[in-house]
Amino acid sequence: MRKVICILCALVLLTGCVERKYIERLGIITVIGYDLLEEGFLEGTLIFFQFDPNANSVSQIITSRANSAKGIRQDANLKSSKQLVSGQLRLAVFGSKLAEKGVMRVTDTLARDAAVSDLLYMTIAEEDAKAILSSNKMEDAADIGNYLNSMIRKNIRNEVLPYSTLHQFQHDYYDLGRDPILPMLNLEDGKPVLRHLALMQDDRLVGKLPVKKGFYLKLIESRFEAGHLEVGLPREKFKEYFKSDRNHEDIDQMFVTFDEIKSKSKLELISPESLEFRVNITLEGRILEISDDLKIQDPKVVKLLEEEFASLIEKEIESVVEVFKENQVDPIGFGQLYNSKRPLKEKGEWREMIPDISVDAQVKTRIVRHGIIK
Amino acid sequence: MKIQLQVPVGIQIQAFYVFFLIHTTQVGTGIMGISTHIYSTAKQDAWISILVAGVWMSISVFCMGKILQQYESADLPGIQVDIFGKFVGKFLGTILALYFFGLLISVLLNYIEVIQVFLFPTVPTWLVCLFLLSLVVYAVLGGVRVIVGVSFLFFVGTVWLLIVLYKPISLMEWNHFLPVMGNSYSDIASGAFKTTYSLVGFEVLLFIYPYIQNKRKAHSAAQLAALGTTLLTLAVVVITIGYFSGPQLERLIWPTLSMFKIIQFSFAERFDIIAVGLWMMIVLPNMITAMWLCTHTFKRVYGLRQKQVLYVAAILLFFGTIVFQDRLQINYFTDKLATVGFYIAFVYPIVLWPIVLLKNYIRRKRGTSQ
Repeated sequence: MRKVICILCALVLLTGCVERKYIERLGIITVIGYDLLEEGFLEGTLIFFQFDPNANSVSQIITSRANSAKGIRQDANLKSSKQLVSGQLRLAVFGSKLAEKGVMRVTDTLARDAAVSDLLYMTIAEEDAKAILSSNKMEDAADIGNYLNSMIRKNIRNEVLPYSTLHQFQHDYYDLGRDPILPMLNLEDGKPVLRHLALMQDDRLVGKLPVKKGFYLKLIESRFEAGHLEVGLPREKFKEYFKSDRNHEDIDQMFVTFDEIKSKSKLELISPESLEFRVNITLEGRILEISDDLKIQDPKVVKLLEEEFASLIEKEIESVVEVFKENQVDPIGFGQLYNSKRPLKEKGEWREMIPDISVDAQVKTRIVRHGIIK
Repeated sequence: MKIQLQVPVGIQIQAFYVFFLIHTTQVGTGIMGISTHIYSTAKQDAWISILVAGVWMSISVFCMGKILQQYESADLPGIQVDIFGKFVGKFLGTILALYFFGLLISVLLNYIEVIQVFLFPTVPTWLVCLFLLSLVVYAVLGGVRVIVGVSFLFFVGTVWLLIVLYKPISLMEWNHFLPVMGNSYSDIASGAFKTTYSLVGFEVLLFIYPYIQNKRKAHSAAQLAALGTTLLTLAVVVITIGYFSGPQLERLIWPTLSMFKIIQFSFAERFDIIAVGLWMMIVLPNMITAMWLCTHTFKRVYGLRQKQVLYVAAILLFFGTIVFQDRLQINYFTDKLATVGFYIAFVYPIVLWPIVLLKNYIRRKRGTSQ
């Protein structure tokens, strides 16, 4: 018995040997924004939670300047009574000026610090990161960080945004023949929204792609489990199958919305010499909305819809690839495929070859259901 | 010193437990960073390197089994004295004991560094060292049966960590393994050589043998343990190579631990912290066995009392860890030790077996001629 008491006492006392962190004295950083100032200085905007019962608000925002990312934290510590810690960092926002120069400069510390989670979301601001984090339109979230984080997480789960965690970014950055792709935050009436995806050469921002086009990127690169898509199909071709003419004649497109899209894709490198790729995509989904009154129970209509849908996707894929070629970026990983046949020596080698690639898309679509009405 | 070691039935163990003893002695700090080491030479063919090393290990275990069969109930220090005579035999025994001592320092240093990087950046080395050593000393004082029991319990207590790897597996990219055989044979061979650091530890069979009750089954249990470790290493390396991209993997110090960073549960947001803490259960049996091997060998070679050797070794270890402070020193020491370990575990048994056969052949011939 005496032994047990001794051991218990020792256990209680020994816990004091390691460093203590009282939650009331901590400022738990959840979001960090980085901007590049003209003199080469970094400006950091930190949002942190505080659990002090005496405090008025749950979170605080601090802006500080330094030459390095960790310097920002040290400088921020001079402006707060809380000990700032980064174990709960959920989101990093990079200002566009910094992103154009390259984000690796600050990403290095995020990767090096074992306290920072690999599941941190990386985003790029279309203008200044500070402006986005200072916004006070956050719906009913606890603070702006919470709002941004839930918005991005939700859209990744809904398969609208690419999986853009710190791990994924580093993976794509270091992999030969592949570039990262990150979501971009923009202010619309003072509220942060997602409009574009950032096209990057290694860690440098070089162009933008509308989020909607991101669908085709994901279609080639991986698979959908429950995606959705709105398309405009040529109205002319369906005219004979209309039950009534409920829409204005002057629109030449029929808009169809698909959801619960399931897809599979197989990307192949046909010839490494001429850089010809082929992607076979099979896709099935259900129709949720049609702008015209179509005789959807007619098998011929469904067939026509499927064909038109497929050819539209093929065209869109071509145009997206064209954008990639113009910007010399490869977020899909064509280069990875090339690398597995002809090992590349360095990243730049593939960058030179990107404008010469050609992608032949072959799409098969199937419409499974069309809602609860005919 | 006696060549045969007679062990009372009361402190003997079942051959079944040899599996856990060998497996937990092999798996430890090595597996935390193994992928980076192998990948740095063998690249996407790292898995071939591991298979090569695994087969080699199996051959070495086979030789150990054959050596032990020549004697009824002997261990390596005894056999060495029998084969090479008193002077050389004792010298070799001392080298072995010192090697195990070095292994202990290396495991301690590597794990303490992980604790400092992941969990408590400000905790002093000597403090963690004190905690771990007190546990090691306590377990070794309990004797062979306690050591084997600890191995068994901690194996069961940590093997479930494999299940949570489903998340990194789901993020794997198989084209990281292409092209197959894209590297030269010498690269793959040197990858196999680098694998050996995480595989050493199976030489414990040569020491534990007298303590085994059903000695016939010992060899197959040891082979099974070797196979288990090979498969585990293979799984870890394949997952890390698929999960990280090549140059990213080369930058990591402990890819296996970094991989746990992606795992998240609603009740445990940062699973990597838990994994690093749990790693102590993987490392402890490792250190306990190494400590037992070190002290037991000194006892066998010089007839010292194991308890006294244990206390002296613990004090020396405590001061030994203070000498090494930074990553580069630890790396250098670990590399050198890995080379020694390679010769002891992978080369020595294969060389020793023919010598033992020859010696016994000559002995029998003399016996019949007299």
